[in-house]
Amino acid sequence: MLKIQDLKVRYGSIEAVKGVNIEVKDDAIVCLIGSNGAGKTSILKAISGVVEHSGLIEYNGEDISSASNIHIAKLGIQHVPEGRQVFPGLTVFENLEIGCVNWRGYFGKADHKEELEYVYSMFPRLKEREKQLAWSLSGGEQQMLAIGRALMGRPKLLLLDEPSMGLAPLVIEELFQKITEINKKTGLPILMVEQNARMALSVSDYTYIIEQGQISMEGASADLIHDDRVEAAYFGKSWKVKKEV
Amino acid sequence: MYLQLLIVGIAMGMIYALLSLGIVLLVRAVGVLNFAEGQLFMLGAYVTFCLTYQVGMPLWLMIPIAVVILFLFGVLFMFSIYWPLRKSTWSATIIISCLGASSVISELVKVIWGNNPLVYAPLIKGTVKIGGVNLEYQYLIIIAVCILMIFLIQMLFDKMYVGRIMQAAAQNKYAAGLLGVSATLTVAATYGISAALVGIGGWLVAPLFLVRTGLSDFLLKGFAGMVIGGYGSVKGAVIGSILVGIIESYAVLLTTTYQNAIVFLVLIVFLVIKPDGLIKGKISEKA
Ligand SMILES: Nc1ncnc2c1ncn2[C@@H]1O[C@H](COP(=O)(O)OP(=O)(O)O)[C@@H](O)[C@H]1O
Ligand SMILES: [Mg+2]
Repeated sequence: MLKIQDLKVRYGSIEAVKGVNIEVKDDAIVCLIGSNGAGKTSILKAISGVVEHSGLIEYNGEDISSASNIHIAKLGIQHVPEGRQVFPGLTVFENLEIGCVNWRGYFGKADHKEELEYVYSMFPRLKEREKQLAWSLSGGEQQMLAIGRALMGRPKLLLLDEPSMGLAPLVIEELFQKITEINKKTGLPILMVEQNARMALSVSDYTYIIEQGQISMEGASADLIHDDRVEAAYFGKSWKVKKEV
Repeated sequence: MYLQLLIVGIAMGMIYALLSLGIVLLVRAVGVLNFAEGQLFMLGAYVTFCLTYQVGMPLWLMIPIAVVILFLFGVLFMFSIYWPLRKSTWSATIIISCLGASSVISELVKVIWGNNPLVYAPLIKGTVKIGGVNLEYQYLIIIAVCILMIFLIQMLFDKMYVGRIMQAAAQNKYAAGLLGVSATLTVAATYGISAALVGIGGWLVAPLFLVRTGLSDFLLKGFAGMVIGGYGSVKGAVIGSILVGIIESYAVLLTTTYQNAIVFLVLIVFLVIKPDGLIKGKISEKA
């Protein structure tokens, strides 16, 4: 499906990603975890073709390292960005509709009923709020909208950047349920960035731990979740943070 | 007399509305104040003059061709003035290049069509009696055409898929890019639409104010309308501009020489009382 070799991203003099190898297999949920500034978002941006990078990115055998973001979207790689980034002044329905632009073109004659029904069945709350402007939604609803918008684009690979950011624990729980459901139902492979390590490890098949632009550890999520080093580095910390809050 | 002034005021206000709408569309799409909008307005008068009198086209053919030419000029404008500088870290760069472009356009027009003002016959000659005073038909034509233009813009951005894509790109260029929207296309289209919109405004005022480079000064009133309406708000720009037109028109009752001064005096007083404008300009608001 997706194969990344020796990916490097730099911003001026800062080297944010220092040569990483990542693979996403068909049907799998793969996670990138790591602290703030580790370079996770930069990796997703490189895949989507919105940031300068070097190294090889291969998608179903096609080299997309230097493809434009428009071409990559047309291939069905859909990126749900960090912080949701919905279109605030458009309605929920209009936001979803714009997600089709990659296969529907700018004048949008083709029918998108099937996609819409699928998204509404996944997130019934979006149907209820169909006519509401996106800025007026809660954080969790906005995240659903951002994911729904990506699902409208007939995705073959979904990139999710910190879907749990800023959401209440119960909402996170529900959201991750949906994410695994989407993956299980349609076999849609997902590459997900998360800071919520426990959640990420529990829903994913394979996990990479990113530290300062490099992969410090990788393995099947089921193994990593019991790994002492991971426990010390991630759960220990997140427990403490939770207690302090 | 009062009714006549009201009609004149609304008509001129509608013209300012086209200008402020042209500016606001670009503010929302690229966040840049286009100071050359007045020159694009003036260019509209020259292009339609040229097609009508020098090429000899009938009205029904002249309008669509003029719109296409003005649209393409807007696209060319975007690729030469905005695109090369879009990543500049100093925000004034593009404003300065717009100012440069405005004098280039003015000079170019003078080279092609000369320094002397040209006469553009009104669409319907003669006057109509309203409230015992004679009023040129052109004012009524201006109101009708402007309402149509504003309606068409509203339809494009609200009712058409491509318009909503342009709105989306204006609201969040990054997210739109991830979905596969080409920023080059949406920005170029916005420049094209903006140029065609104000160009038609230039055509509309030509029979009343002659075809001359000085027409670009209308931009100031468009700016005033936009500021009164609320910076960045589409609805505000239209309402604010019509208000400016009406104030300017009734100012004649007090003075004929200082009409402009009165408009800007009102603008300043207004800004002191209501600094955000009538409608708080929010990029997130619907167009
Ligand atoms: N546009 C940018 N310009 C300069 N530096 C950036 C930019 N984006 C990210 N960085 C830097 O690159 C590093 C990695 O950032 P990012 O990929 O966003 O990390 P993460 O998503 O893991 O928090 C950070 O040090 C960040 O400051
Ligand atoms: Mg990040």
